[in-house]
Amino acid sequence: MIAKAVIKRIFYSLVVLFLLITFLFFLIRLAPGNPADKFISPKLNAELVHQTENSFGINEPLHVQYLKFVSSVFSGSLGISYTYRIPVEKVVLQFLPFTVFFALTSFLLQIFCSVLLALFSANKINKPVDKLLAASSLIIYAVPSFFTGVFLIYIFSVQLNLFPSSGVSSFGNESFTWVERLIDYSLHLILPILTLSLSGAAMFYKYLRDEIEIEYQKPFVRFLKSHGYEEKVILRKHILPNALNPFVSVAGVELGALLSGAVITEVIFGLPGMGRLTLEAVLSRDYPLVIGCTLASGVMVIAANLFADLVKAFLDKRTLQGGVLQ
Amino acid sequence: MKRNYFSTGNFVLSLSLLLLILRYDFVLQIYSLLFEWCSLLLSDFLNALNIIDFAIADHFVSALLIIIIPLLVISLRAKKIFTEPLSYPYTIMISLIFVFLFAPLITKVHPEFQKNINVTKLLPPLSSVKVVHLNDEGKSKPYIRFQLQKNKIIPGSFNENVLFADSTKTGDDVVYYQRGDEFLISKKRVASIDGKPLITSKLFLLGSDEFGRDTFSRLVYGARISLTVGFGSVVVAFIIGSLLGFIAGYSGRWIDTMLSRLTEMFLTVPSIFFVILILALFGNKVFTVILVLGISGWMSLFKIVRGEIISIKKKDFFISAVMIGLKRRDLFLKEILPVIIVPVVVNLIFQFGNVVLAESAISFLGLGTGTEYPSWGSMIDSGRNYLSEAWWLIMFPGASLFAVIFAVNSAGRKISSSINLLK
Amino acid sequence: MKNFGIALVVISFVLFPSCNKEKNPSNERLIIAISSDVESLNPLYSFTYFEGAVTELLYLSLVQHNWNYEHGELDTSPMLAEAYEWSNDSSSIKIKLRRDVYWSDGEIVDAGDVVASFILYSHPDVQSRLYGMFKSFYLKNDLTIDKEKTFTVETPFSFTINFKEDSNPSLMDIDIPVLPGHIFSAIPFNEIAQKEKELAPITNGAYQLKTWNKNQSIILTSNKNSFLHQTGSIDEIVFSVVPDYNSRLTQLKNGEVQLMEDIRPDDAQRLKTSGDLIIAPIEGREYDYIGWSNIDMNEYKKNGKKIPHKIFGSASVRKALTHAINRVEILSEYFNNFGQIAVGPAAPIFKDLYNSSITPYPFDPGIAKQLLKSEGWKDADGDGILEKGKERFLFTIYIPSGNPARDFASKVIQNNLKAIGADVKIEKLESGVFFEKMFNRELEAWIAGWSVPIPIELKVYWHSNLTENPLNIAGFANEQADELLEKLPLVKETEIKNRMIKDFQNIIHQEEPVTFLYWIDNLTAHSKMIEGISVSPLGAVHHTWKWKIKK
Repeated sequence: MIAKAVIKRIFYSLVVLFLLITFLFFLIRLAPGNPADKFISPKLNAELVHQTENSFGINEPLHVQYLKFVSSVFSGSLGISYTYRIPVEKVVLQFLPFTVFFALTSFLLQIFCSVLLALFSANKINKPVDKLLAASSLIIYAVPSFFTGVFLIYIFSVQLNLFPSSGVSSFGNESFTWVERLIDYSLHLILPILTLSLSGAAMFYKYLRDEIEIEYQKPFVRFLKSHGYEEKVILRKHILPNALNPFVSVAGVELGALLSGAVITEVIFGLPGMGRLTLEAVLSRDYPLVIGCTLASGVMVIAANLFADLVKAFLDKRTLQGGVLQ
Repeated sequence: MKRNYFSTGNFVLSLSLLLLILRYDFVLQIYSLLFEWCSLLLSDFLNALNIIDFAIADHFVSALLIIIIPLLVISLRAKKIFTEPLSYPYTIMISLIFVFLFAPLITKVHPEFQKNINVTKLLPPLSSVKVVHLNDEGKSKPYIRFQLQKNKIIPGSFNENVLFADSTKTGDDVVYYQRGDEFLISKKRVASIDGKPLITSKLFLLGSDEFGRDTFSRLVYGARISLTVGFGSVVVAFIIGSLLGFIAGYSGRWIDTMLSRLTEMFLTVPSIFFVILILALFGNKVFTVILVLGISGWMSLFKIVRGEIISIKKKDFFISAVMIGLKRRDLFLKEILPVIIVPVVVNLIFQFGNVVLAESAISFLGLGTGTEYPSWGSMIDSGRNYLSEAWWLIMFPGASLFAVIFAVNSAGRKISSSINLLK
Repeated sequence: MKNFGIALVVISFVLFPSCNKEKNPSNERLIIAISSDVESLNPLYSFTYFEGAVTELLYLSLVQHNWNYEHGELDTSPMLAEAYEWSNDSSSIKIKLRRDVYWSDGEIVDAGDVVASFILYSHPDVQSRLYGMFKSFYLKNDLTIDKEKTFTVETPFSFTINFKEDSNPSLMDIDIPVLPGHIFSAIPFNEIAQKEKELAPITNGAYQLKTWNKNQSIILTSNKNSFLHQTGSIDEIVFSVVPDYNSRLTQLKNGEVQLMEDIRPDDAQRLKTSGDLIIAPIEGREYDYIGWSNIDMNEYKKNGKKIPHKIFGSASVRKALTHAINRVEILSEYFNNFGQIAVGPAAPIFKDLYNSSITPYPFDPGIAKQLLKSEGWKDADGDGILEKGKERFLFTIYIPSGNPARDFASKVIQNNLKAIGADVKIEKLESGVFFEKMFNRELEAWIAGWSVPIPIELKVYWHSNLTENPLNIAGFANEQADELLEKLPLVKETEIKNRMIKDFQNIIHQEEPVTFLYWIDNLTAHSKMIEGISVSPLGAVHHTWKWKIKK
């Protein structure tokens, strides 16, 4: 049952990927700007320009290009990046580990803080502390991340000079001991992770807290209470599982978004992640790389959603019958 | 019923009144210009139509609305929408719409106006400079009175007849100082009132930027961009999302499957990349930004509409309505619309907040709505270069952005939680 | 949540009070901040300024250059070539190579490498940046250098290059970074471009590549075996990629990096007051200009006809536009006077050929209006915008995104031009789109810039044959100018050449094909610790092996 649903789900994901490839291919061919331009010195005459363009396969008919493109994608080679001059897969693999690490750290931090705080306010719903927390979470959520980033750099790097403002490590960190290296990495990543996590954590907290509040208002809670169940037991056994279910879907979407790169944070802090890679690929018209990046993030999003669905299925077996996996 | 003085209607009224009191002379001037234009319309119809441009129309509309809106509110004061108690989201939304409509009345300074950068560059909030007014010189007099008046009343992005100075001295000639340098100008050149040279001062309420432009008026006009992009792309998202969702939910079968996969495909492309890709490839005009943000934001709406329609189709009341033989139009208006309208509206409100944020984020990345008008995001982006000496350049647009998004989110939450309670 | 973040910050601060930031440059390492990574470290493909700066350290050329301030030109002296000698009629050059230069794989650098390099640069399959530019050489049909006719190799360390008859060769023709011929001859030419990353670069320069983390850093280590190595040369030079300008600046202030270029004038003003840094302008050989389409580009692209543009076709109108623009204000308010007003395409740094008798058109809206009036542009209906017949004085100036200086200039220019009765719109295009449109002649007016090559090159920018000279984007045409530009390459005497270039500048000033705005200094800042650095028009990162770090 589960296996079948998962296979069906993966099949659908492949269809989605295929659509994505087609869509990207045509979008990019429609776009102005010619990838051969960068390799053409303005002093070349027209004939040589034409020759150079031919070497990029630009002047072939569109359907030939498309077929070549699709077959090469499915045979696993995405072509050579124009700017990096190495196969696209290798470029993406260079940037992916950092993004995965960065996204997972931020994600775990967000989940950890939000669940912790939500549990903290669970039995204080609508008391002053809870109200204060809820209000501040709304406020934090509404602050744009580029504003947070610039602000944090201004305070902690420019004024206080506590943390470096850019990059992941200092130069010469290969000569450090592993402890020093760890410290070096963490010093570099504190501000970016903070920037990336604040609004997400606030959002998760508010979401979970509201779900808990809604669950509390349901009749079965009153029923259990009147039968003398302990508040803690009700929370852990009945309210939390119900409240976590929609929370997990939201978390899946957020995880997908994080894994496909946090472009604003990466740009502000100069981090080598997928977001900046994609941005630069787009701006430099590195078409194979754009496609590689978008496919990579597409796969990430699909994987994250799949993961969230599986977690939900684990949390509540009933959803399988309800067809969530489809 | 207890009367609530802090109602939305009263808020609108008091805002309008405040604006009228502060700008009564300007409003009167605009009306006299309008009168002039109407008489031109009678005498020289084609020319009158030709002569009107966006700025003039903008002023006329603002001046008319500032009278019409209070009257409307008074006559409709019993309506529910004007008796709502004033809350934070309402305050912000009303103020925002107010700023949107009355930008030309709120600030009389053109957002791109700049002159004598050496005097007006990066002034902190509440600072002011001296303005020396010069005589019109050597300019061919327009042969239409309207034109003459228009030039006087409607502010432009430049004015050759003023000079900004740090300080001035009047002796035989007028002496003015610009960043420590002394300049002389003959009294004949300077405009005068009662024989005294006309020297006023100009206040920069929220400071000025690196071009000496007024931050306050840029903020006010920037609100227009945020709102236009917000509304525009929400409409685009609404059209695409609800149409496709309706088709998918109503027809089912393979059309549904196909559209659902398509939606999933759009969901797998992170929307910010999608937006950057399209803007970088196809250029960044306001229209493109609206379209792109709309196209990247319709998916949740699709899911909602499709889901609701599918569940309605299974409901008894709908099946019986079909059996009775209700017309399609009636079926839609009476059975479907009332059910889906609320979740759709809630989604659109959140969508609005997202879009305003996204617009400022792409402006921040330098791919925003071009240079014709300032936007809050691009104001923050350019203010970043002057972070250590001009905090006001990013604080004010940042705070405005925050206030709007906060208000929109709160409004969305309020509505959706009241629905949850109803359920 | 917020509390947790602050707690984290506090904890890390308390536990590790000494941040591992290097406050002082060590003796061994110098860090240079760059805005974006280089695309290639292979001289065959390295286009940009910083690519050139890095490859210069890795690959040696036959000759090297220094800037001669007195005459404002290049001083060329031997490098890989120990000595060279021109034949009497300058049709061939005999070169003696140094015998003490080795590739990093241990092979010695010999004449075979030099010959192979010339073939590589000129071969079409390689798609090198210099393809098609060996005009003084004997060429085959595909523009590859004819090996047999060109090179006479006497011994492994001495050879002669024979140039084509009637050509006018100079040392610039042999100024190419020499490549390891023994490596590249083993690779099919059309695969070289793609194989760069798989091959560890085999270099012969003063420095070797240690690591290249794409988009992070390029680390070069000193090549102790190089004849350029001196005691005290810096052991490691790091090019650190920091894309965000403000982060770069913060790192410079904190001492995390020791050298940075392209500092914004406002910041340069501020940095001047800090004690640890020296601000050195690389005097301008880049200028910004407002391009005006001299001819109607639609008509030209459709049927190849050159009809004067309806607004910018007349020299008086273009001059009026220049008069109307307050270049002094932009220069002083944005550039803090790090630069100077431009009057033509020849940079003032080329002292001997710069025509200093030309004075810039002053900012004077009055003259501008007068000039426009004499051309028939009048504000007949009094709406503040000029007309000529039915034509309105209305146009759009396009600017590329991501250039704050042009942003700034465009704002001032727009208001300046409005003041003389032009209805000007400014439109910012994403830079990729902008340059494509510009090169396709789709823009009627635009703000862009040119960097003038050393030695100066004029024909491609200003000759009226637009198919051969695609960089004449404004479509400027002047018979006298054409004649001068055609004769110029044939003249051998420097003085006559310089006089001709001065005449050319006069013509340009009379015609004002575009509005020349200003020459922009590239502002660099470097730590006071660096000794032996000389910031010249050739750049700041130049002959880095001569640098030392003060202890």
